[in-house]
Amino acid sequence: MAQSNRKRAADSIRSAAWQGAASTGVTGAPFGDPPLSSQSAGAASRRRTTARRASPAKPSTNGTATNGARKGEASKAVARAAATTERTRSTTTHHAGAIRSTRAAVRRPQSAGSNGSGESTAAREFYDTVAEAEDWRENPFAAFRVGEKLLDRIFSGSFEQRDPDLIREGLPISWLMATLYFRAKVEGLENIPDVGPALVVGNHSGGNYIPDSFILGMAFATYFGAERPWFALTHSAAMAMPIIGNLLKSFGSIPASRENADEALRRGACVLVYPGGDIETYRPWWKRNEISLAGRKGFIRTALKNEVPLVPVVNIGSHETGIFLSDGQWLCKLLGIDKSLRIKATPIQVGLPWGIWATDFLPRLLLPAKIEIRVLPEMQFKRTGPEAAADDDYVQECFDEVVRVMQEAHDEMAAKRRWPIIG
Amino acid sequence: MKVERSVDVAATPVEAFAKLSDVKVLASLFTGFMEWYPTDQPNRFRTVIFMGPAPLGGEVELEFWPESGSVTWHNTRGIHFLGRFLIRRSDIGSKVTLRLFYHLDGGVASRLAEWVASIAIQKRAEEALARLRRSIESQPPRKRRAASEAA
Repeated sequence: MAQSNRKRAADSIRSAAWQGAASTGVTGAPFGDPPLSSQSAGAASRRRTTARRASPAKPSTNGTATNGARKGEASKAVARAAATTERTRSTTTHHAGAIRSTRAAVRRPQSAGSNGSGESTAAREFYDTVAEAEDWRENPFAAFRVGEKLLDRIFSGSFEQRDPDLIREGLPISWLMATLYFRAKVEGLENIPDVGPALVVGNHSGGNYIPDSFILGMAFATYFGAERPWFALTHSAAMAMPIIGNLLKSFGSIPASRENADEALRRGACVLVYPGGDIETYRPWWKRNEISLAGRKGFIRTALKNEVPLVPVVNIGSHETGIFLSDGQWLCKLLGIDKSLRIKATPIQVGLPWGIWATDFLPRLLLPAKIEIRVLPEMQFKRTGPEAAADDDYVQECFDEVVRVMQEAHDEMAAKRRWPIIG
Repeated sequence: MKVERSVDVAATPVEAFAKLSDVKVLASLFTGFMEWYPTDQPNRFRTVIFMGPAPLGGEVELEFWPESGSVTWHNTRGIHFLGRFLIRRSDIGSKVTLRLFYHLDGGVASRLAEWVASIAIQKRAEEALARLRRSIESQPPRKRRAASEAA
């Protein structure tokens, strides 16, 4: 009861704040911006929202509005489970009492402050999520909802999650790694416009450990300052990792989608995108000097539509931090994760400490390859604007030009390298 | 972290100060280490420091203190940074001391990074002072005097 009272109070405060904001003419969100979403998570979220709006809410016994469709669905599923399973439970049967008892079982632990102030927001959200799932152990649909909610939370984020102070404090360690371990060298940062948005397009290398991204992010922060907004469009799989995902969000990662890129550029930020993504970053060792953007032309459309400078970035050496034998696209198709999880490639690699293995989610020793990054002058396109972005032939022409420029620069850098890894 | 290096110059403190008062001379002392670009404000300069894998950008404010024989610049943007030329009278003529203070945020790693950077910064400071001495001593005394009077 205390919990529902708290919820009602929070809802009323939120509602009053929104109304107040509307009356004062504030057009933006008073509590920060709407959450970001990846394409899949965003679509799923929209689907659920639409379904919930369509279903009528009915008042519950304690007077608070609950989702009638969900309740009904849960009750039906519980009934089905009761009818189909032969399990006997000594404690309770499948009715409303069972739901209450399950809720009691997942009730949040008592924190230092009785009003919940002692527990973190994440913990509160978790317990709310689990509590809402009701009898998830019996009801597969409820279990799916738990999964969906958790995924939603993982994929969602906000532009405000980027933390300049954390970035500044993280600079020394990345600077040390870049200096002592990777002997990195970044040049041409002056080609990024001093002010305003820009779309920075790079070739992705080095598997999941993306040393190129960290070094480029570090270089950007040391050159322009950590305060200048810099967002990196990141694969949902990386964002979904429990600890790393949150860390990435703090360092300016946002789920890779055109909507998020548009929004970040609209806010005047520099946006880093690796169009080749997982396909390029897992490419085999012998293709390490090839620029392969996997034919993905969305970044061209984004740059043209938003009329922002497109700045290509080329790195060499990052792909020598691991030895990939295959990008494993066939494996993803075989497992079906190319569609379900948007993972188009999973590498088969050789290295320490595992020998030969598939995927790049296990910790591995990064080889101390010399990494060089060159920021090239911004691309000049003849036409820009939404019309140009909608012209497929023109987009293809721009894409080919970008790949050509990047490949030429990469070849020039590769010609200067005498040995792999050593540089 | 603090890096300090000194050099003796065969010129009076006034002459040495007059030399350092010229921003072009000041910038040329740090060639290869720090570049200075003018901004809209006369005493502020955008700087790029070449240290480690990537250039460090920032902005400094330059101050001249003829009363205390000191030329100082400190950051207004970028990493915490303060530099100072201190001119004192010596047996030869003047003793010019270059002090560079800098600080990075971020715990133990930052202390280590400061120490690693100090190795290169010490070398750069010595080079800057050697350039200053050459620049002052290569100038005939009469020209030096004229320059100091003009300053």
